[in-house]
Amino acid sequence: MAKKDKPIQFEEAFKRLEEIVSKLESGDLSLEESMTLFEEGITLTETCRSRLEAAEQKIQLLLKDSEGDLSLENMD
Amino acid sequence: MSTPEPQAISVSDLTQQIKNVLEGSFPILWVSGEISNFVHHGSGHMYFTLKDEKAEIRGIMFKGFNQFLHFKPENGMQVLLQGDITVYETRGQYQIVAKKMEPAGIGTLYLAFEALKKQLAAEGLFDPEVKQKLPAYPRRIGVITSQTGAAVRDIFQVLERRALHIDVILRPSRVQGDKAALDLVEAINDMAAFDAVDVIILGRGGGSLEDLWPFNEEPVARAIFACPIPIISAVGHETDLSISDLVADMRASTPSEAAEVVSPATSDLIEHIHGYERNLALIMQRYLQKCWQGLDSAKDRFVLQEPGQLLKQHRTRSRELIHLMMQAYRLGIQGFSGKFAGANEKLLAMNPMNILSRGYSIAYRETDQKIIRDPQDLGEGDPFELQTFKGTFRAKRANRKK
Repeated sequence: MAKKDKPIQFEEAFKRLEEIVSKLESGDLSLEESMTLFEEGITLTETCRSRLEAAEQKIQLLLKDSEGDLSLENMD
Repeated sequence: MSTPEPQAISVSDLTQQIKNVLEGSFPILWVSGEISNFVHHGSGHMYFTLKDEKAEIRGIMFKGFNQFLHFKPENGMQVLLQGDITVYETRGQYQIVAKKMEPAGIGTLYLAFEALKKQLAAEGLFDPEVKQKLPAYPRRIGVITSQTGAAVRDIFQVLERRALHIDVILRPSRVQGDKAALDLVEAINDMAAFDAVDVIILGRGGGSLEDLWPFNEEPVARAIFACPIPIISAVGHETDLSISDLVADMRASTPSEAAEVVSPATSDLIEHIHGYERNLALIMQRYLQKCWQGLDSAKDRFVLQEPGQLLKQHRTRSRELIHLMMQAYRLGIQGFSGKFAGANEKLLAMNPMNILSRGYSIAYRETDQKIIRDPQDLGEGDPFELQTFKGTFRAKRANRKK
């Protein structure tokens, strides 16, 4: 069986971002903790955005060979 | 000799009894047969005879029902109809009063559809509680349809226009004909096994009931139900309802609509992320402002010129650091903020309030408020001010011992 390779989940990234924002908003963190969360948050937004902006839709075909193995093939 | 006249009932009474027996003993039923003597009367009602090789029955379809027919009944046509048996007393005739009528073939399909729908509903396959939620932000969408049909073109068009950040995996499948149902089942299972997409669009463009039929077959329904990946079904046009639509996690009226529903627009997502970024920056700004205010109030409380100067410098430095930090994030430089946090923590520790509270004092020359760092700074007997944690008092340097 071919590998699964599920791409980064935006849903998870967004959920984590929400979590970070509300944690920071609560305000009872040390400076160190705040900065760590802030850094993680900014990194997440950067990752998501750069992925969105650089996105080129890939269209692939799911094919099955005579052995029953599944594989992807790029489609033009 | 005359025989006694037998007890007799009237024709009306007899007919009434026949009517009672007949009309009560047939539940709603479907009958198949060939139409003859068809008349569409000026009143709008339809009169006909339904027959097969050995028997015939009169039939009526009233205007209120026949206006919904999708076809024109004709003599010689094989039909399936549903209705009640009634007795028409005036003529002594029994007849079937039709409520639904379908051409045979399609009628048979229709019956199969109704039967399967009833069965699967009873098993709970359509229950809202068992439906999976569609992902809010799918990264990859699976499409199961014909590689050459209108549906695949429509879906690709929508996704290309709205959401270039979403990748697509097409598993081509036949969508009409005898082998389509099996192919669809295999396609669903393949998608599930490969497990690379967040949601699957299953469907085809419009067609006749026979064309759409594979989506009404039980194995397809069962495969959809068993699939761990959410499926949105889009079969035919708005008005076509299939078993697939009922069992899928969501129904779209057309393949284009399915693509719209599952794909959040790239521009919306980017706006969403901007929002988070603004929020994060705002929160940190507020947080750091609180730190500065701490430093400011320390300065105000102690009217200390030089430490005040020191604080001012630290504050400027702190602002510079934050500015640099934001720039660093923009440039994607990692680990910078850790250093910044360390620097700022040190700034806070240098709050003179903290130092004094630990038992240190600061001495000022009374003449110019300069901090005394050296015995040389003060002459014998000169007064000075001593700043302690809780307050300031005047003092005088003692004379040197002889």
